[in-house]
Amino acid sequence: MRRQTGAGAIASLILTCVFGATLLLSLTAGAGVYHRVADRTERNAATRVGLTYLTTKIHGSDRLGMVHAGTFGGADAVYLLEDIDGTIYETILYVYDGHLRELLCEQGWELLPGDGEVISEARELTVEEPAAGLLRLSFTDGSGVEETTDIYIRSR
Amino acid sequence: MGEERIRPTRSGLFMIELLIAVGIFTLCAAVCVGIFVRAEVMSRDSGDLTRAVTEARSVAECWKASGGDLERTAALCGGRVSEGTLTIGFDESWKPLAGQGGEVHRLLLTAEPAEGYFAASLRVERQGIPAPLFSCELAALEVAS
Repeated sequence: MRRQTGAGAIASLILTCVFGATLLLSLTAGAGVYHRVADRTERNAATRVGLTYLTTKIHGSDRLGMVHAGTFGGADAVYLLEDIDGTIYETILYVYDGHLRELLCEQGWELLPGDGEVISEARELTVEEPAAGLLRLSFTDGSGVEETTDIYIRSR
Repeated sequence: MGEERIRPTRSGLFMIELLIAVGIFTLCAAVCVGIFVRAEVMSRDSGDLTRAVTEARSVAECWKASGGDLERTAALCGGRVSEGTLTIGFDESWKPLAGQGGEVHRLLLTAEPAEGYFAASLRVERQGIPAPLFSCELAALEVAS
């Protein structure tokens, strides 16, 4: 009869430990990659949604004298005007209370900044005009990342 | 004399079982690590492409506002003009650089010959990678004042 030594049991134990360690390592690596990918995707989306929305709205309303920078509720804003049956309506894009907002109303109406429709999370929007017909928008998203884009008003 | 039959022990069987499990796990782990690496690379490329398009769009708008003048474009959005090409350098996190050192990404706007309008080609590239991250052709029909 063969005598059973403890070598086999020790080898099995070591193999089990190696198995467990590599399992933990792969799980940690996977979780790390997932976290980074999700974080980057969210960051890209947050900035892209706000800036792309502003850019698309401005280009969509690019008619002579219908786009201008201004202020609303004490902060910078973009005004997009629209003539419907002789009545001028304005769409105001601005940041208030942690959100990029859009407010559509008849020109001259006095509405509150809180009345605007929420578009996305944002901290700040600044609008400058470094050259004639060129709007420079600096948009800070909800996580504090600031992006700047220039928009040329072709109709001016 | 009969052959001695080796009887498998319990720990030996467990060892074989464990080896098979580790083998299968190793194969799966290798595939998973490959997927993790690909996901990481794709995510980084996607982020770079987003930034490249944003920067390219911004420079294109400045170029149009400048009526196709590269010097005026450089005055508006930074960078240096040399031999008919505007070059803007960016660091790893896409912050524009004033000098030439430490460039990781680069935007090149080259004036192209055209009759009756202004044309240019725009290219955004990453240091050490020959294929551009983003490229497009620009045309301005009017001369901005």
